[in-house]
Amino acid sequence: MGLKGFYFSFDAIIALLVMATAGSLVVSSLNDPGVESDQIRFSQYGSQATDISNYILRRDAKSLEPEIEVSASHRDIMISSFLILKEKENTDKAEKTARSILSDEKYSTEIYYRSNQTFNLLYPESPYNFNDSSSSKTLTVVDDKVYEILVVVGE
Amino acid sequence: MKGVAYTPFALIAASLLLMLFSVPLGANPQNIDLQINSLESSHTYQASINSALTLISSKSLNAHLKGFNQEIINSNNSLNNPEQKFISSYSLKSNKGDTTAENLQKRLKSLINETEEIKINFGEVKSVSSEGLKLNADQNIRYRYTDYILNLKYGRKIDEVDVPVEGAIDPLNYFRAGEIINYSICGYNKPAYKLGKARQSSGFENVYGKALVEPENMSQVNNKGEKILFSREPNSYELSDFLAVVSLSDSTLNTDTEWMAGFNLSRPVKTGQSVILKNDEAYISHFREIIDRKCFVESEEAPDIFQRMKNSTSKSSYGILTYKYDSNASLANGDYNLVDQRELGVKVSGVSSVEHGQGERSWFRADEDNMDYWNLSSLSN
Repeated sequence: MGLKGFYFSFDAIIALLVMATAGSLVVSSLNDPGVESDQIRFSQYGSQATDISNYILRRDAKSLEPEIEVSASHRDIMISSFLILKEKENTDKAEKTARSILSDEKYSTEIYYRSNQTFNLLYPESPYNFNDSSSSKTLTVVDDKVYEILVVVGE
Repeated sequence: MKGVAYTPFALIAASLLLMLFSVPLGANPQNIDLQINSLESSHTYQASINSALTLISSKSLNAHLKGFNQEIINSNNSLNNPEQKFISSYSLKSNKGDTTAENLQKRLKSLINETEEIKINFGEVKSVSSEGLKLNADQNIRYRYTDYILNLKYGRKIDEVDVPVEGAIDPLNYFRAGEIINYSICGYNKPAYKLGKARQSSGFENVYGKALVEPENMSQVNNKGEKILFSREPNSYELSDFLAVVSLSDSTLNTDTEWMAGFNLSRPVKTGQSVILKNDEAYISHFREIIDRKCFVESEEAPDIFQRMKNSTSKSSYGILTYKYDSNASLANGDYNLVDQRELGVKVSGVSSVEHGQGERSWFRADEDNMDYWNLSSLSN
């Protein structure tokens, strides 16, 4: 009698497992709204922003040559530091450098920097006023001072 | 009855399974992609924290070296145990800008959002050594970064900091020659590089000039008498005006000027580079640049950064040296570390003696051991 009870409950478990599996698939398919175009674009903005941040963090300024002239003393610094150094010099070198870095990128990109609470626009001259955007940030050091560079990508 | 009793357990187990299934299946590829993007972005930021902390520590140690060597100069006394004194006098609190631990902490806190947190712990420098124009500091730096939105915690430990040395005064030069020379790196490993060898030449020694490689428009070339033409077809040019001609083909040249033929280039040569020709060999020369800039190159036959604090000219595996001009003719120059031992120096072809070309620096001598170390003994004379 006890063994019979055991078999009944075992059948019930198996049956319920099958039902549970089927039910979970139904629930998940109902919950999944699918991939929407906005999400795809947002993801691509994020990818581009991260790629640019990685690039300026990991590449030396000498890799900008020959498009951008780099002095011997700046050849081994990171592109992120080079960008801020040139921005501080108040010439168009920072803009040229940014344009060179971003020339092959698909979406419009803004580059900001700050050493305190205030963000300064490094590139382009005026902001794009994006409707949708995603960003990525990095830290860099210039003349014993830490700066944050924010890369914003959008449309 | 027992079957009924077991069934509620079965229901509970099945419900749990239902929940477990529904969570991963609810994660669509796009959500996963967004999460990966967030993680990649966060990883990039963390890498930049790492880089910023290392750079700040490196700059702080270089600033300390500047002050440390300045004190040696001010006291006019060399040190017995400079490494230990360098470490014991170092503190991240004694520098300017963000190179103090406190200021750096404040700065980073002002740059992060309220949903993030960063804690940094700068440990003491346990040991320091030099390697050419670089210090290696055994310094324990730890930091912990938390992003509460992404629910990320990231801790990292930096054990070693490389410090490119720039700007500090070289004490040895001050002790030996009374001259203030600041450390700066030349950017090349030795003062000359062999460019290659020719099959035949017109027979000459000690030519010094500037390279001119395959000029497109000869009418725009000025001062040909100071230039050494490198060409695959030199006979297509008017050669007599040049200081010398290096032909990359085998044909003999019919010209009054000095020439090499069948030259085999073992490294690229660019227009404007300084070139020395000697017998059937050519070299790219940086000797004059080192003398003029007073920059430093590495050599195992010269003292290192800490030996210089001891006023020692002993050789080190991580030694550095520069060349300098000394206005005192009796000490006129060789390696700065041999400034008072001129008789040990050797003349260098194309620098101390120039038979064809300009810019002879007849006072110049180089240490023979260094010339051997750099495989440049064929330029010694």
